[in-house]
Amino acid sequence: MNHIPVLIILFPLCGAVLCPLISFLNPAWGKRAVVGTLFASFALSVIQLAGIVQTGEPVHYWMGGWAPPYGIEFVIDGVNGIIIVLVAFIGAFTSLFSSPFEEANPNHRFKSAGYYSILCFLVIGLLGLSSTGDAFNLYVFMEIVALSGYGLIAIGEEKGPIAAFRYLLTGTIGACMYLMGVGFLYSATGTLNMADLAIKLKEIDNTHIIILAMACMIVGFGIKMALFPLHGWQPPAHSYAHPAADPMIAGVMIKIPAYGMMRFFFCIFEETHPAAEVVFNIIGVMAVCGILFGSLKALRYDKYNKILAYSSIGQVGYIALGISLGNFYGLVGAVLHILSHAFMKTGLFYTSAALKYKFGIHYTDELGQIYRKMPVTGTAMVALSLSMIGLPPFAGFFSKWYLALGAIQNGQYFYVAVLIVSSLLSAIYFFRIFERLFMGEEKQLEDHYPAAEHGRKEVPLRMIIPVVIAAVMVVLLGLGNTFIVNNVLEITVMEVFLG
Amino acid sequence: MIDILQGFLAEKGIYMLTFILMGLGIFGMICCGNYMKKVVCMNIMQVAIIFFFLTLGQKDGGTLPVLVKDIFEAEAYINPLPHALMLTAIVVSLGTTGVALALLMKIKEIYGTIEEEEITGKGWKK
Repeated sequence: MNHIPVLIILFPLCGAVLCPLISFLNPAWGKRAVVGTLFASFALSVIQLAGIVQTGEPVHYWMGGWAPPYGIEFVIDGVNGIIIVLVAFIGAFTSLFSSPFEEANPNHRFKSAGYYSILCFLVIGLLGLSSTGDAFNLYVFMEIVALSGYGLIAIGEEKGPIAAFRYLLTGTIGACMYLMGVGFLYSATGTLNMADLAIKLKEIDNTHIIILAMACMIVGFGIKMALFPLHGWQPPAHSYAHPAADPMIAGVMIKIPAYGMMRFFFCIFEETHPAAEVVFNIIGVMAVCGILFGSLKALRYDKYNKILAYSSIGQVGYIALGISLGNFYGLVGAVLHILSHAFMKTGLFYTSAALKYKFGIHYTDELGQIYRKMPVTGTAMVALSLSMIGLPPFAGFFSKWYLALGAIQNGQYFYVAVLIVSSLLSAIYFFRIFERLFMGEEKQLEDHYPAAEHGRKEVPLRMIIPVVIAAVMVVLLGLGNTFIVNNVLEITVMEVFLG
Repeated sequence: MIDILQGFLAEKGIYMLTFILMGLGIFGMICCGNYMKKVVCMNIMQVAIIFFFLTLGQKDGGTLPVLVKDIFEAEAYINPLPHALMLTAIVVSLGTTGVALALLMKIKEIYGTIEEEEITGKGWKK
């Protein structure tokens, strides 16, 4: 039996558990354990994806050899194969990226071991969340993600603990709602395996219980992915989290529940169910409100992280819009937007963390002429922001393009208008940053960690590499989007979600 | 009349009570000004979910899900799966409560209070 699906999770798990122990003897090796295992799991996930693309068959892994309706199953098809590669990739580079931060802090020995360990647990949770095929197992991984997220937010800036506490209260309501939905489904069908649920739900006449379950799922996943009226925890959490872990939290942590939502509404509930139309309309309204609200609210702030956090609310709205469209182009757009926005937002938070590390910059009015001091970070910032606005050679354009195609196919031209308006709004708030960047007055900035820097011009190489890779990936995803759509998504989206 | 009421309570009463408990929990989390009380209400909500699952496993005349001599039909036993699931959920809720209490200690250290109003007054909003 092919053990790769579970090894992808098992490697970082060993790293996360062993890291504090090894750090007790030698801090440098504790960090290397986490970074090494994360890169190993990235390599394995690439091998796994290559295998799936070659054979065209989804991989099923039975935990402990117990057959599906009774045992726990991991199911990896083309779509979540890509998402697993994405999570492992960003997780590995984020762990690399955080090391200068941890080394610059005083008495870092025990604290940073804890940090690496929690970061690793976050990646494990996200990997499990995207690969599991069992509804209750998904809840457990969701809570692993949430608990490590609380930790990473709380060890951030001064207001971190309160942001984390608020997220804890809201996140627990979300997880409980999800569990409630699973309870309804279990009471109706007597099974927890997703594939089995999908078969048994077709035979059930009682639509009330399905509607209740759908409502619970919307609230549960909606809170976790910060969909519009349920987003309250997100802006403070994203702006006060640990700066080095922020790319992971803002870039990936809110996308994977969106994928979970897609899986529930297209693989488990039938999209032809009489209640589904109403549900999709509700998600669509939430998405449109979120897109406009996030973009408008981002105009208000001067704090770089706050702008990015509110723009995330809008961007998650795009994914929800793709779900609500429910046709082929909408779903391709949603999956592509999960990928492209993960790289864009992660990259922008990498630049934000690099600015914080180098000069302690938090507000956009300190950005004047920063590209002279940090040329690489400045260039990456501009490229990623242009992608966020949605200019053609970058990835952000193409996912919006597929969403617009989906909306036109359904005849819902209102959504196209919303897409255009929100792109213009995001152009406004990113051009405000550009204005300060290129035309603002140059400020006299002091190095934030002078001892660690030795008068270097840019941030250390370990931080430049992830920044550059995020920017390059955005360009590659943009240029290679037809390749991904034609070779992987076209087949798997049809099979997995609409089959 | 009383028969109908009795039948209704026997059939759905426990679920009603569970949902009332859950509503109370969420209400408390929204309305209490004290962070400690919010944590307590969060626990109440989680317990309500656990009750909900446990009632799913019950049935009339079922016995403990441990193999008893001479009884081999599955109908004679209650469903043990919800209990197993809820063991995990209890562990998760224990973890959440632990993190919440640790965060509260940190908040108390920084702000000197765990009353929401006093903390908001100190410039949390911006």
